[in-house]
Amino acid sequence: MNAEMITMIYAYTAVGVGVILAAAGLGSAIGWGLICSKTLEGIARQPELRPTLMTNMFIFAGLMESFPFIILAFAMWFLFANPFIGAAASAVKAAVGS
Amino acid sequence: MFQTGLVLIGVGIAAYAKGQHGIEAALYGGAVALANTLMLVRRIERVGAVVSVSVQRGMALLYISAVLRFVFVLAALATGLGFFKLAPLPLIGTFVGAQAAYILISTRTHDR
Repeated sequence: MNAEMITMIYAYTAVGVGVILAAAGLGSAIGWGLICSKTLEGIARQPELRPTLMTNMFIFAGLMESFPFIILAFAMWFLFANPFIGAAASAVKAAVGS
Repeated sequence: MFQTGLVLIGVGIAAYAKGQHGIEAALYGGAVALANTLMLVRRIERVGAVVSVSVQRGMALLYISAVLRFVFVLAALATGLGFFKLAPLPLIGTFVGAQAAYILISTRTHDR
């Protein structure tokens, strides 16, 4: 495996990580928007339930954020301990060996 | 409690599969997940107290907390994988497992 191949793998991985993080950010933003809008809707319908709805909103917003963290963990894995380099090296070795 | 138990199970599996390096990485991943949950729980309590006085301040605290936790997890994982060169699979596996456990437990608790 030569330097050009390794560079290409890193470059494509960087692009992939960018897309992954963008998708996680977008999903998180949509989630926040939905949770907040539904809470406001609920408060508008039944103002007396406001404390309960607000508390539930905080809890579910925290829950919703756990998904982007999981995605973030995978993105960091690809970025700092790229598993595709090893896989490509094995594939090249197998191809050269056969 | 359940999350801590799951982290310990993850550490056990990592120790069996990868030895000393696996234990270190799994402990690190689990610690990041537990710290993240602790930060979230403390912030929810704080926001719950503040929101009764000022909703806008409560929402601002919530957004700041989200950004802080995101940066914390990003920095912690980058340090673990990039600087300490810990084994990625046990680290990520324990972190993701602990996060998933938190989601499951919280959802089940609120369903009741």
